[in-house]
Amino acid sequence: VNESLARGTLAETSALLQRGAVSPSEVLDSVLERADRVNPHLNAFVTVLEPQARRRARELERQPREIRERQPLWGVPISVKDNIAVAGAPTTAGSSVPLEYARDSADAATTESLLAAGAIIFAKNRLYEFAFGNQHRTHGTTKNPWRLDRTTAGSSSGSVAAVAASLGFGSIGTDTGGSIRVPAAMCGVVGLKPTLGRVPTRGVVPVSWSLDHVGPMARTVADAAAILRAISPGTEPAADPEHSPRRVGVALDGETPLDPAVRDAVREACAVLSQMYDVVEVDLPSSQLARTVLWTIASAEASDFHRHLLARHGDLYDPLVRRRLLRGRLISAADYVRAQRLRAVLTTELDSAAEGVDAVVLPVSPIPAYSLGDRRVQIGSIVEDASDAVTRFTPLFSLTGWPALSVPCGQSRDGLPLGIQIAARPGDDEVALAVAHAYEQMTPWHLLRPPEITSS
Amino acid sequence: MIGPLDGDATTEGVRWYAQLLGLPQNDVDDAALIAETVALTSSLAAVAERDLGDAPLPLLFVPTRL
Repeated sequence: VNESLARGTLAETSALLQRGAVSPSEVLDSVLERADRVNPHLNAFVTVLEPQARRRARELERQPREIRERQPLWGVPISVKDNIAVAGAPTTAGSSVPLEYARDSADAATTESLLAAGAIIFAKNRLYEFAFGNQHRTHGTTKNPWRLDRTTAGSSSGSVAAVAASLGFGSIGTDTGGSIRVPAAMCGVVGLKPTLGRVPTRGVVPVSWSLDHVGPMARTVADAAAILRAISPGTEPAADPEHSPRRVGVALDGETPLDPAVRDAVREACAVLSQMYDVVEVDLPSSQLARTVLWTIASAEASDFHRHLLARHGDLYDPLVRRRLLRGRLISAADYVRAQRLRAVLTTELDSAAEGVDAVVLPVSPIPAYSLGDRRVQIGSIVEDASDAVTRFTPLFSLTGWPALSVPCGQSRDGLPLGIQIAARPGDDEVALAVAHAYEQMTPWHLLRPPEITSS
Repeated sequence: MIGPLDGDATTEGVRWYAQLLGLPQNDVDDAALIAETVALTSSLAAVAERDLGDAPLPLLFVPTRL
């Protein structure tokens, strides 16, 4: 089997499949063989659905040409985060807590859309327990393909590790406060949190009903866009030349502590963007307030979903996840209402701050991937909780529903990937994607791959 | 714009609420849990009503579970 087939982009592989140069089974073999060799080093998958995937590939091969041509992901192996239901496979949400979802035989809405688009779902990805804390100790740790002693961050850990290491051509993740964008930045892939509500969450184990998003991760912006269109059928906007982005706002205030490599990379990205767009400075609402509001809402909503599970199976939870859920129980209704009102204030403030620009650009994370096991990190003179630090810039767009994606924008001094975040107004997913694609075409970062993992 | 926050919820108040909810004694005595909750909720409480303007309670049930 030609393993190099697995290392192409989704667009390249799809073109080969559509013209019959390779078959779905050949592409799948390539991905499975590579996964067999590389995944033991990364721990990106909970389950590899080999028999189902092989059956699916053979079914697709029997389809007539006119059907395959209508399916944009025909024959393309894709993985799915294990908090999204796939019929015939258990859904663990990264936990040992027994879930109804684990026995659910119905596909999630996203799974249905992927299958309708012709994709082969070949694996379910590891994640932070319930997408809300840490990887559970009994489920092992997912390693960053760029350096195996570094975190992928989370919660879509296995999804980004798989995509970065060319184990599949894309993955579906979930993002409540940054769980697609932050790990995408840490592992040098593209990760999109779409507009809130664009991709249905039916069949997803919830974190926070009013904040959960489902979105794609892939090795290029075009690949992420192709998956987004497939999983949000009926919402693809018509091309509108009047709406092509012209003005981009940069939020890089000089006071927020950032790793120097991140600051330099974002400045260089802005210089590249200024060759295509008018680039102006914008002053976004307080990221600290956004993070506090998000944690209040997410903790309260999550604690309700887990109310009975926590009472019955409290000892099966990771201690950090358990504590976060208990914290949610202690948030009063008045505090929850206040957080939702502040969410409305932040939405208005963001609209005002971004007046006159089509998209805003800022870092995804203030630091590159930190060492596995580190609970606290230092940025300049400030020492803070690692998960708080890396989600500094993402909650604002979760709360306000703005589509936002992470795009590779450079490397740290020790060769770890960095990402910029590009966000646009709700419904303008295509605007954010257009700016990201234009940036990507001007830079080499999406072409870099992690060092090849050898079996020794 | 509303800036970074600081507030005034009390440890004893949150501990009392934890007991009221019937959380296990170990959790009620978990100082870090109580401190985190105090930090979170007190910072929200610190926002003056005038800074909220006429901010309504937004529509909670967004059409995400189609």
